Amino acid sequence: MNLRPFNRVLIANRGEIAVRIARGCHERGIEAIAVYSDADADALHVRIADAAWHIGPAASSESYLRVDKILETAAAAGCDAVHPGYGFLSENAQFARDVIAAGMVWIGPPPSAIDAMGSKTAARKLMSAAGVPVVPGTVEPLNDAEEAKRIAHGIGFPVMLKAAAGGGGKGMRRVDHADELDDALMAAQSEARKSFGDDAVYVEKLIENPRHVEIQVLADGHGEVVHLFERDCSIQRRHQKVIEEAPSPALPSDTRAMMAEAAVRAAKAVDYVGAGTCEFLLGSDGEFHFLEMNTRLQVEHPVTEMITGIDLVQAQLRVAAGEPLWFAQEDLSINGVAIECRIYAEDARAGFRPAPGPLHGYREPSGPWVRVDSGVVEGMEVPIHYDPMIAKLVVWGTDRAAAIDRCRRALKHYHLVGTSTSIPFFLALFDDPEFAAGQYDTGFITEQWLADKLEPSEAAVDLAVIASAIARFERDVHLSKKAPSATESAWKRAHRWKSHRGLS
Amino acid sequence: METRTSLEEPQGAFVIYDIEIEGRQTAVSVRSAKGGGWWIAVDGSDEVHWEGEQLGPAEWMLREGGVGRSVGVHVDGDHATVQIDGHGLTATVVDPRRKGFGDSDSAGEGTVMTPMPGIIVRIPVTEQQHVSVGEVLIVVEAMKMENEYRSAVDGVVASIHVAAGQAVEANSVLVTVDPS
Repeated sequence: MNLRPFNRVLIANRGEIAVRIARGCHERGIEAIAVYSDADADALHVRIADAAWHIGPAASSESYLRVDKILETAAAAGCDAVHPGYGFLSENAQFARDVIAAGMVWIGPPPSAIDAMGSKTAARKLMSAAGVPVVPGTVEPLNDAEEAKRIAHGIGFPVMLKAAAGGGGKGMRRVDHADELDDALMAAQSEARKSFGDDAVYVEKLIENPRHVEIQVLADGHGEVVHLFERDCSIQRRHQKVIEEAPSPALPSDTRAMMAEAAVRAAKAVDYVGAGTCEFLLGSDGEFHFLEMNTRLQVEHPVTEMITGIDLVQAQLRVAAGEPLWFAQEDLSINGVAIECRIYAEDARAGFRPAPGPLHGYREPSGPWVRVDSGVVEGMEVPIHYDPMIAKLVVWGTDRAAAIDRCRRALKHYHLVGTSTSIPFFLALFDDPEFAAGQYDTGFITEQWLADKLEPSEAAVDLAVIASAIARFERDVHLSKKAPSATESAWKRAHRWKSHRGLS
Repeated sequence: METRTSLEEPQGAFVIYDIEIEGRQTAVSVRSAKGGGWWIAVDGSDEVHWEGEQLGPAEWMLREGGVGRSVGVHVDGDHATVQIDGHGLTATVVDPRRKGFGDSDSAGEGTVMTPMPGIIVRIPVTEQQHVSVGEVLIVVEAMKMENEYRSAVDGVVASIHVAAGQAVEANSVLVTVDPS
């Protein structure tokens, strides 16, 4: 067996995921080395690491995305492995190659697998060949609007234009009619060029309001691949997930089996190693189509950990060290229901507008089967430079209703003062009968829904008025005691001085 | 309305704050009660006795009629942030006697302000340029998201208060347009 044990991991990331990875390292007796930008000097990941290295200014292009700086730091800190987390450099195949070339262990899939799945068009081609169902459309980037029109007519409107190098909803355009194609293609290409430095765009059939269901896979370096069931991530804003649950409340067991089998086939097709996720669109007709494979740990990995009992970060570390999988597919089963709420510093009522700011007051909920993965502490500022996620609240329950009740309770116990968050959104969601019944898809959140459901109650506003009056009054009293203002009368000052003297 | 005991006697002068939360304007009078707590009247109603204490940097326990509830609240100048039922509410709390002392903003409809801190990405207009309603005046980025601010009026760009690349605080004035 080809074991490559390592003892000191550089975590090339920040925030909650850097903390999560450090926890996994420490539980396995491995040292965790943090890197941080100017904006993160007081962050939690810096505080819990065995050592923290400053790598540059706040802008991620000058810190967390600086391959040279991070490799230099890894060498200087004596690291023998690198964990990229998610986002930033996690799907940068060249970075993975550089880490390996520097003689360190890359805690992630082989660079060739990242490349194979990195181009959406190449991945579609590969998956089709492997017998994995893909959304009907092109497998090659479009050359011009004429070609787009021809193909769109072939598969039928509405269609979706997507950036080949895309992700995160960038470079995507919905097209309902042929006469919109020219403009939409230009817009998608321009956005793709701006976001990814590559204007290649392809066309897919639009699946109306599908569910977004993904399968977690785990592969060792010895050809063994297992799946860890699905996560349902259909509740989205700006094509990005806000809440995830496992298992999906809408997946028949035979569809689950087929989807999982397709995911394992996808992983095998690219000789995958480590933790990865195959995303699928599930249509209302029950058909599913491969969307993409994320060649890294996902934000929402904890819900899978909660229902399977498998620690995915530890699994990544063990597989990267060359260990064969220590369990088989038939050892895995779904136990209960887990839900994850992404606590974003955003004003949900204002269309999830970013609301960075200071955390004047911060206390996380706790209790049985409540887990909070976060990267902040009270008094910290939520920086404007990065993702607006403050924390992930993850709960487990024996069934879905129990998980929802527990999650609602934990959200109410979340003390967070200083910024708007997605918390009221989740509270409203849990009170929605359709969500409670598991009936939702990617079109669930609308502006109307947000406007209708997210008004604070009269009583809440009444109490807010009283609370701000009292807090302001006490602050004014405190300030006037501390520093006599210039406008204070001489008589008053003299009087205070006298009474002070009288007391001493 | 409870009866006042001698310990609850108001003590000292009251202060009246103009408070705006959720678009609701209220005038709230507050004065200390002798044995602790406050007498509070909202919009001229009868005074109600509240008690409580500060539990943390932004947390208060507030009691009325012996029933308490923890409330997240933080005051900074004339602004307060309150957390109730998960909602992060922002309030302006102004002491009219100190008006002009705080940072109350008197923005006309031609003034573009940012409701959140961020970084100026680009400013597609120049001073003295004619702009029309809906034209993008400035683009501000926060948390990986670009936000376009558009002109609410037809007019002339009177002044640009910031430069591309600059970091700005919430409620900063970015661009002023003189309506034509």
